[in-house]
Amino acid sequence: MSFPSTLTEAMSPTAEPKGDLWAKLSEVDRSMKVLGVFFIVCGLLWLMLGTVFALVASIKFHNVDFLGDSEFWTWGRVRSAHLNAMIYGWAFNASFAVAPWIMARLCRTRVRFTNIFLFGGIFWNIGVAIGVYGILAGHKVGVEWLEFPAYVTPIIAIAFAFIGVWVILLFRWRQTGHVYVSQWYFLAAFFWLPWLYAMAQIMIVFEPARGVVQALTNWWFAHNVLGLWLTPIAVGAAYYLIPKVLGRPIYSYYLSVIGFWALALFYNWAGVHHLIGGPVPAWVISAGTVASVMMVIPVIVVAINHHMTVVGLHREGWASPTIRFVVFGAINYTAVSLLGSAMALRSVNEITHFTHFTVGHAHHGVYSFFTMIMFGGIYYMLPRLLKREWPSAMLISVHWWTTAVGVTLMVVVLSIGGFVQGMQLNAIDPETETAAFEFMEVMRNMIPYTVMRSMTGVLITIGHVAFFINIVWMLLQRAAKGSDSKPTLLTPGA
Amino acid sequence: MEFGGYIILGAVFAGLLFLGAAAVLWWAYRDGQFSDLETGSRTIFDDEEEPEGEQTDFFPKQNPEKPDEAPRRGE
Repeated sequence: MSFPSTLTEAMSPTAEPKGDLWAKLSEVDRSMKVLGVFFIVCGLLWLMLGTVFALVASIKFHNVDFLGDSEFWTWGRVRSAHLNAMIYGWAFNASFAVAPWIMARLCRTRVRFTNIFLFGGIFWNIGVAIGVYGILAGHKVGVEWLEFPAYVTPIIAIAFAFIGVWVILLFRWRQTGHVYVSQWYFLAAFFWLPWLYAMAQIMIVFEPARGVVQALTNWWFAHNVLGLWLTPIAVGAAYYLIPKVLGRPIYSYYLSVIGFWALALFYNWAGVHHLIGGPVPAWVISAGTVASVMMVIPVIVVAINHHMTVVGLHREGWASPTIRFVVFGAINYTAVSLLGSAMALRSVNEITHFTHFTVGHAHHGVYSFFTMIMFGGIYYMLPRLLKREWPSAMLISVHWWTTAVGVTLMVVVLSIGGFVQGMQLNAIDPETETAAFEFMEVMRNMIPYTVMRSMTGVLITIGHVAFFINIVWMLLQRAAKGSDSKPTLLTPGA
Repeated sequence: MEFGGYIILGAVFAGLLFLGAAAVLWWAYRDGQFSDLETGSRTIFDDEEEPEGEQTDFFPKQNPEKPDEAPRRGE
């Protein structure tokens, strides 16, 4: 076996016959160790920081003066810092940890040139750190999901280019014939995101489009980060983890292939539903609404596959931390997507738009669905990378119960509160034919809901602290010794 | 640029992206990716290390098959 020593040689289509790089799963895990641990640790730190921002922003809803005398902690900055730290810090780092690891396992190849990925990852995190600081310092761009100041976005785009190229190279080195459905999802996500990010930056920050096109670009981008990045990453991870942990193949693999292509076709149209009621040509909104409803097809397909694979193995699944988190995420993927399709209807959107309902929906998607699946992936991945058990089953239980209960309550509270808010904002006094409620009155009526939201936030924070302790404890543990603390899961001598 | 200009530009790029997707779909079909999905769905298992039919994840030290030891199956 001779491996090409340089990158250009390795990329040449005739360089390596299939089989030369074929690796056992434990060898793949070992070759991904540094990368996996790096991105999990970075993601974890962003998760903790993002949680602090979230709590501060949430408390400000019912205690307006909280930290009000420091401009760094005003609501407009902290809220954006929370969003960006969670998405670009936590969600992307978690994706960079879980997706390429699953990709490498499915490609059955020893990974190489990991420095490219690591280099991209380091600059990505430097970029996000500068960006979050920039937001707190008041340099932010006033466009939701693109708040990072313009001076930092090129670093982020170039960092992603390194990461994306490496993942595509990894696919190129695959030693297997069949491309598994998770690989389709990951590959597509790593292709789509750079295009989305570059387009949005050019059309909003560097060469701004005029008028409503700017708003259209904004929501095309923001919704597609969810639809064409977070969704394929998490759905792809679930398509691997559920059958893998339970030892049972996907219920209908045929459907999964249709599901992928339906998502690729419909999801990128859907973002316009954020502008229902805005000064946008009606046909553009209609196209977005139709695409949002068409998303029911891939969602049902994924739901059938994820849920039918688990049916009959509930007790077994409950015994696995990975399955608990991933199945919770899969159930919420079905729920949040169907709700999302309903919210894209004009009549529903009239009530829910500009209310807490949308905020609840966002957390339903990014937390109940995406983040929970990433937690599950990390619970499966880290023992294999480090070759040791999770130190505490109790901390895993705490993490599971607080986050599952916490986020479910949060979504319920925000949905009810948002619906009430929407009804009150729209209410007309029949006698005077003017608004029945003053704006401030509606805001005050929301205080009980926002207090409850902060309480669910505290619950989730407890879960994150448990997760943090468990990971740090695991990293600090000495490598396995003796037979009763043998490393888990892996073949002897691996 | 006016709205119509963006629409034309958008259509060009969307068309390119669509053609790319169509090409990939065509490649997958020609490569036989869709010809034996039954076997394809089992490529995630591995007879040696993580075989089909066996659960591969438990809470720490709670593998019912090996209650006395921390490690699980495959060890």
